[in-house]
Amino acid sequence: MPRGDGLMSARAVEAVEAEAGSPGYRALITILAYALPVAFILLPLILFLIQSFFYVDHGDIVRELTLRNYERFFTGPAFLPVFLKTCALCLGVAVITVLVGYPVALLIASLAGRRKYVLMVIFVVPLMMSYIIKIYAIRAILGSNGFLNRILLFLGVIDEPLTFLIFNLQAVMLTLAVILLPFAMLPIFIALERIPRSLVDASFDLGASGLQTFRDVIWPLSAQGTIVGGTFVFVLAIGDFITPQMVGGANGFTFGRIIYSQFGFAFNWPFGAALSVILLVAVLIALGAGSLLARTRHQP
Amino acid sequence: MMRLSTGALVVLGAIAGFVLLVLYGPLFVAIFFSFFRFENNAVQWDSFSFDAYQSLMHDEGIIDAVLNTLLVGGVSVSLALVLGTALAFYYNASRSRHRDFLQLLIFLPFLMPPIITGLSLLVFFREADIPRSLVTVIIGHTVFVLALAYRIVLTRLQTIRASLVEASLDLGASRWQTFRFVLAPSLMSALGASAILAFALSFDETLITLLVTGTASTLPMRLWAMMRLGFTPDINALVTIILVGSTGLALLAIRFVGVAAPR
Amino acid sequence: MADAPKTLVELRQVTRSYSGVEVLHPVDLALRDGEFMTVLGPSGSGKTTILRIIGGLVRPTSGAVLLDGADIATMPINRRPFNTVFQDYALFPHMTVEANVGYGLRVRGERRARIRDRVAETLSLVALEGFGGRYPAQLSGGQQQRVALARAIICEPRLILLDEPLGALDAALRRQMQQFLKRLQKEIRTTFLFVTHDQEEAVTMADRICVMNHGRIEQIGSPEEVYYRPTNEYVARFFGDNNLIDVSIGGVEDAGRALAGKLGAFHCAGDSSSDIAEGRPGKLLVRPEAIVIGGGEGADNRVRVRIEDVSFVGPVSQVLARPLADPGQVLMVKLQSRAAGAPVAAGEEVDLAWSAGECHVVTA
Repeated sequence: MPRGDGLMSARAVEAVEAEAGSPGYRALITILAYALPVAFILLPLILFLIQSFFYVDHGDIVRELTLRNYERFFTGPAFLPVFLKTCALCLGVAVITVLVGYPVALLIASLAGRRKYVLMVIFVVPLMMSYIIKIYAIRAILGSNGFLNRILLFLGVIDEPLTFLIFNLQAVMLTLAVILLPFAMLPIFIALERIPRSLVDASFDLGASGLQTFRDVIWPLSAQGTIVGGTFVFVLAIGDFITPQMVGGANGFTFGRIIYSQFGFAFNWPFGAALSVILLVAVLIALGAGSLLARTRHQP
Repeated sequence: MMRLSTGALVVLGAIAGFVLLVLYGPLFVAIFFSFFRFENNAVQWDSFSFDAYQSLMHDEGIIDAVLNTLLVGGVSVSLALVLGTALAFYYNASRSRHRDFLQLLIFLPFLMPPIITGLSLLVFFREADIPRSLVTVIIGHTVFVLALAYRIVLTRLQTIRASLVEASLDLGASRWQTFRFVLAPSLMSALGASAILAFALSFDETLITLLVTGTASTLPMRLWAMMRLGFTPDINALVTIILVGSTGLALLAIRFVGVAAPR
Repeated sequence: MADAPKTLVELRQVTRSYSGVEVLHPVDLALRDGEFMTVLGPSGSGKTTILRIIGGLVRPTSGAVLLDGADIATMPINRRPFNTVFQDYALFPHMTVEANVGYGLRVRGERRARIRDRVAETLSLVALEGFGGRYPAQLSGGQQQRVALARAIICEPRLILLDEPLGALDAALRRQMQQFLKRLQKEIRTTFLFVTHDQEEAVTMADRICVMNHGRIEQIGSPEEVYYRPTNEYVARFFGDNNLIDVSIGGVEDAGRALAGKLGAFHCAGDSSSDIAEGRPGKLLVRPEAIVIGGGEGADNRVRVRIEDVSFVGPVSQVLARPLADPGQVLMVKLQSRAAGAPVAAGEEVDLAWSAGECHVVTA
């Protein structure tokens, strides 16, 4: 956070605190501040973590701490492969969104004045449009009874509906990419916006071509935002269970769906919790790797 | 940032055009088929009607879902605004090191995949013997949008010059008067922006809702349930209504944030 | 200057408009090879626009930009043999000092070994040996400034454009950098175009000063010329605390011109007024340090005043006085300060006097 002298930080706070009263009063305020976040954010997470060490016996949860859920994840035939496949899938989603989102963000950032913001709004509005609807609409287009197939049939390009368009992992990947694209674009756009115009001017002034300027100035200075965007997309994609279910069908089984099923028909909450913890670890690794990558790309 | 050469402009423009098609194409298809029927592998151009919209009006399940969604959005946004503002003030005024821990807590539900937030709340509600209902949905949404309200208010708070507060205190105002006359007016636009954005998020929230709700349905969930059965003009009509609503909300939010953003 | 100075860059009737508003009215400017020119003016005067037009960052709306006589108005910025020191330095934050300075050579495809040698040479020229491995954020403002300078001179451009480069530095460092820049310019024998809003800085550094206001060039000349012989009232007011007295211009006499005004008759030597028609209104200019208090029986010009205020401002003392003939006006006199105090005190009535050679006339 900015802690400039003139800002409403330490200085004003001192002034306010000077008359803020006794230590007891301040302790009360602190307790009040923590009460709700601890009760509704921290406590559930801790309970959830503990739950992952319980196990289920004949449909009842046994409240004894054990590692058997984690053992099952590593030894069971299906869980680890699906987990790895899901990670690869989400990495793919992140790569696609960044590869497509970067050029678009670059284009928008290069525009002047009003046009820039109007265009950015056009690209960001879908981000706030109903997620379920986007899945639904994509499914309506790609499905075997969908819009695309009907057009192709009508045009005589194909004789019977294409089935590879939907209900497989590729369809999940593309759908997630479409839904999450604005999330990747936004940080990239912000990073590009933050590059002072004078740096680009200076590069040209020193004789660099457009490509050299991109390679040496614009890309290094926007790489951090790009990594943030990619990480963001990865994190959002890996926890999703509705998209895979809607467009993945029987062949689109992802880790998120396995977790969800433990809380649904499989009714093995402890095991689901353990799988979630593993998912969270993957997310943390992704966030850590992202920030590490971003830092080495930038100045010390 | 920079001006692009014509060649680069053309290539990037083509990519952008393709992306727009992919982002908006599916939505327009859905809107289109809320008015027209598709039969015998052809669009029936003479089938234009508002029938789908009329039948929605008589679907009690959908009306219930709309009311639930508005209720959940309104209550959880209000709660998140009050709590977020209070926490932003606390963070801003606190000088202790543990305030960053508190901030991390607030951000967690926003940073973690929604499935984790939803499942941890689910476990918590069962352990605490709180039956799943709209109340648990409201708690889930509040926890989820709290980070947003908190962040926007805090950002604004930090741009208010210290000298303004000092001047107010110096002129003899009490702390309450300083809040009332100096801080609150400049926070209003930030609060408005938070409210709209948070409401838009809550309006669309599906993953957490699905995990913590009981029998009551919000609009996205109702839609999800309908969609499992297949495609009907009714769904397209509902989709169109939601799209118009959330687009309007999004534009409003962007306008508001644009105005509220410190220059 | 022994040789006839060769023109390096010339602006001919150059204008610039932004959305229909002309911020630069037709401007003619010739930059001589090897000179140090400062462009001086308040913000919004068009001085930065001129610099950016020459540098290629802004296209002129009309007019020609000539380099060695050839029009370069459409030559892209990265082909121009000019380099710029930007106001905010524009150092690449993700590159070391070495990489920043060597950037111009690198994008020209120079060999690595050669770049290394040239960077080392240039860094020693700006007294930054040993700083090559640091990042801009690890340097002080003055050091960043010198990196920006090194980066601009390493490609041996024909012209170096400096856009208020000292604006962010404190006064002491600023003075030091002014000396340094001047020395460096002599050493590398390159033409410098230096934009500033600080008149003292412009005077200290320049071979010639171009004074701008409202998108027009008011005067181009040596520092002495613009200081002592301003061609119009704007320049006269811009440089220091000239006393300006309303007069009407009289006939030519032995010593120069006869002038008449509310404060009496004056005589002004010099050529500044020789082409001004008789009878026109004008302003008589006297620098505050040229005025003598009291005495001066045989002086060319004399005004009876009442002393209003005497203030000590370090090496000089400043005296404010109101002429008895027109108490609405204030004249300023600057005296060298003495330990014994000023020779006059507030409330006294004295004569102010100056010689015909110390004043100057401009038309109003």
